[in-house]
Amino acid sequence: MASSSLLPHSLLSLPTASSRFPKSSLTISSISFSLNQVSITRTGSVAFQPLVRRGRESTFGIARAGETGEEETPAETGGDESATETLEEESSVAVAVEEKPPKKPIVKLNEIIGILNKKAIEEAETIKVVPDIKPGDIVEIKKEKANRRRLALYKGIVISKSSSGVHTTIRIRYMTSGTAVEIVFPVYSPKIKEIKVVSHRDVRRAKLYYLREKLPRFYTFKKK
Amino acid sequence: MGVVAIASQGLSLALGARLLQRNRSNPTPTPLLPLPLPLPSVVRLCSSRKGSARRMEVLAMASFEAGIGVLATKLGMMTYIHPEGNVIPVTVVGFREGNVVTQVKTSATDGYDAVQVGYRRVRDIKLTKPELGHLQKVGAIPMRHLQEFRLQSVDGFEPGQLLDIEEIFKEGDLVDVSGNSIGKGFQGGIKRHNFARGPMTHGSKSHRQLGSIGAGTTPGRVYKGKKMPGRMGGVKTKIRKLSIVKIDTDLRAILIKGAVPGKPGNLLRITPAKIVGKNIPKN
Repeated sequence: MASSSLLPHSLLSLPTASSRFPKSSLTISSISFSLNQVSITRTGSVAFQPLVRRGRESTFGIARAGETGEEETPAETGGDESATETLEEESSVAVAVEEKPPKKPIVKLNEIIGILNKKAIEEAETIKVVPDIKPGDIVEIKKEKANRRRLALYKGIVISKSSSGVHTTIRIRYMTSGTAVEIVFPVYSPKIKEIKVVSHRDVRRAKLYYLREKLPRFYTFKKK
Repeated sequence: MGVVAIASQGLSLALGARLLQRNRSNPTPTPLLPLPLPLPSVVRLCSSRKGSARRMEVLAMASFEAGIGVLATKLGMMTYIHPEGNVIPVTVVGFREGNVVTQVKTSATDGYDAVQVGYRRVRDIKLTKPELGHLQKVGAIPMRHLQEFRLQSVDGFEPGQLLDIEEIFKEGDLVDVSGNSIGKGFQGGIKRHNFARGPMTHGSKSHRQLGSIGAGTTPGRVYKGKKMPGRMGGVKTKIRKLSIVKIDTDLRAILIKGAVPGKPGNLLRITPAKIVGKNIPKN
């Protein structure tokens, strides 16, 4: 019997088989909650589970894969049909495990907000490309109006930028019909359709609040 | 004249006479228990005065949760941009290793129905042996926090069961979040009880003081519960009816609209919102 003759051999070769797999692959990288049991979920773990759950046949399968050098060799098992079936599965499973991509890294709790912000910024970038904006830039912003018909155009000087992930805002100051206006725009909002840096003024400050006391010609811009 | 009926025996005549005298002097019947009488489990005092039939019965106090909840950790706040374009301030709530059912209490064994849930894995040496034994009884990891959720029925919960966030909550649900609020220390009336300041000028000598704390000779004392300076914050606070904006399954995080008690790292207890008319459990 092929299975019985090979079984003690499989037990002996078990330590080497496990040493072939990197130790990290056996640690729990993320636990998914389910009502009845803890299931270890990683990419490719679906293939891994039969190896964990079954009893002797699994070790048998690992040993075989190790011995044969990760070849699918159903023909070598011999006459026993059930053994061939399990061996086919296990050797193919073992191959899949070997070829899977590296495991997902554990996400620390204090990194989650950073990751969420990054994801949100990536999503927002698909709507429009946000250029690098600095205080002193003169920008043109096209924003969607409430009735969603025309795009409103704002052209002014950036007097401050507040960086906070996806809620990064810039404050634009400009003059329209005798009134000075300051507007705060959330840069990654989907209602802002376009931001274009038209020109730049050399400033030596991060916040240009001094423009409020200056003459209006410093923050008046002609719209084309 | 009110007649006080006490459901116990052994009142002497003199005591009875005193009772009648008392009733003549002050019409409202006072609960009279001067002697160490064996009290029955239900004490009923009823007055036959017109309009007022006061019955005092011993009740079982009960406050149930609207459903099983989870324990969580506050991670911080950020902005969530809704696909429509509006911008929502959200609290990011994360989950440590835990949310394992450690004990199921039933009215047969414990007198009430509740599910005890553990949270936050710690090292063995950080727990006492009794605590470890309690967790090992259900084969759970060593956990720091244990909290009970009192429910009307505990069917479907077994010790050792892992609670799945996606099965309990979904986006758009209203939840109650409770946790320890930020401690503010010893604070005065203005911050603690929203009192108004005195004038700052015009010769005023009282800017942030309490002002008057009572009337004069009558009653001649300060009422109990008079709002005065004292320790503020650092107590269990529940914020009701917060909506869940998003559940992120990869990161194991929930985005809840609005603010929740405490600073990042705080333990939170999230339960389905108890809304009158909808799911306030009735006895």
